[in-house]
Amino acid sequence: MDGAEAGNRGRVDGVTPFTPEGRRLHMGDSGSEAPESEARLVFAMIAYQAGKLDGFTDLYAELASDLERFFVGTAGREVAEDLVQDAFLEIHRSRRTYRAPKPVRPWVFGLAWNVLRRYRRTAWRRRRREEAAGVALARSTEASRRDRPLFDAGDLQEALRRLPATRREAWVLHHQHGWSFQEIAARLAIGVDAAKLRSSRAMRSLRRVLGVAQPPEPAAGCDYERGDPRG
Amino acid sequence: MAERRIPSPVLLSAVRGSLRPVRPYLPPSLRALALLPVGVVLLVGIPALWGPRPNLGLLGGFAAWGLSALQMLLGLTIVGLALREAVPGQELSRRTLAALVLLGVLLFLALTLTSEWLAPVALRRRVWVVEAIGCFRMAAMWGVPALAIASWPTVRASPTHPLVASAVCGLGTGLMTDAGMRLFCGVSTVSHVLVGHGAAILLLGALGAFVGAVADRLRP
Repeated sequence: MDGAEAGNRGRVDGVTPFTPEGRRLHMGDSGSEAPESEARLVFAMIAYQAGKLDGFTDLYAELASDLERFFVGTAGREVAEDLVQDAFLEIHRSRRTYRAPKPVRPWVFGLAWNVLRRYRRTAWRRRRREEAAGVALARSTEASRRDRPLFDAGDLQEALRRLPATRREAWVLHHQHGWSFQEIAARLAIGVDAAKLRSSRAMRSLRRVLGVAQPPEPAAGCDYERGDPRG
Repeated sequence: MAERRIPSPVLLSAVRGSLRPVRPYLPPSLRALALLPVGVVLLVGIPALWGPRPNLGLLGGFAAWGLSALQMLLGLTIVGLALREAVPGQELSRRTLAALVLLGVLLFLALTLTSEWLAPVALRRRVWVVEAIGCFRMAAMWGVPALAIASWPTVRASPTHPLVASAVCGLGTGLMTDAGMRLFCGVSTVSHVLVGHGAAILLLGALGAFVGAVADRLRP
């Protein structure tokens, strides 16, 4: 893969304000920050395509806030954070399709649009499932009353209600119904990593709301961050 | 100064788990050029396998092979633009897409009228339907595998408008297929070409849109 890396480096070397590609990067930008930011993004993408994790973290640092604003404006605050995570997973899967030194933002926001489109498409299915999940949740909470002395079941139910639907569903299916992340991913039409992320974020929110340092234990021996309750 | 945002440990772990160097896509023009052999097979293969049209001599070298090659190259160009449309951030404007479709339709009509003018054929009403269905089936037989090859890089590129990108790809493939069909089919009657051959192009466009929609739903 050194060859690919070398090829990428060759392209980076050509990106200065004095080359045609560099001028193209600067076109349409009124401020001096924007071209610098765009050039940083191009460098980050090239490093990312070369297999360097720093490239990904730089990209995240530059774009996470912009993507969050985009999703807050289009899908709502409660799901924006999840969609940002999904967007970065989509970026990861599609990183081959970016060609340096094209501007990175239009490419990233194109992928973000794909994530939003899929979210909207599955939203109506999710709404339908919420009713069924609500019934199952009531049953599970009743059952868990016997098993969990750490906090009141009503508190958990209330905390779950406050969660965004996307996170709640992933958490309930995994931690209360014992579904594997593969099964959740298939049901929600999302990636396995996205299912893990949603469940993990739901768990973090629950801990915060319930004021517990350790994860609650609906199933003995379960690793809440990564584990599959069925082992 | 704003605090630098860092990815969550779970996201970082997911990315790290599958992080490896990747080779960026080639420009759409080069990827379209890689499909040139498909176009050549369609152009040469159809008349070579089933025999050239009986009235090929009436058309002459340029009107037969030259214009068919032009049609194939236009189809290939349209496929190339579909490949570009499929890459996020490089989408074509609606006006460009409309102009592209219009150009394809106009070229198809112009070639149809040219063939009718140079090599007119009187087709009996009774065999009209049979001939049209026959050409439609033959064009579909060649066009569907070609579409499968051409639409693969289109749907893999995470298009923001998968239906549009794949439908344009189907349209281009349809034109490429018809470039070979017009060298095989000796019936130059306008109604026959519009229904028998034009329907095959439309079918490939619709099939392309369907493939794009299905591929989009199957994406994780």
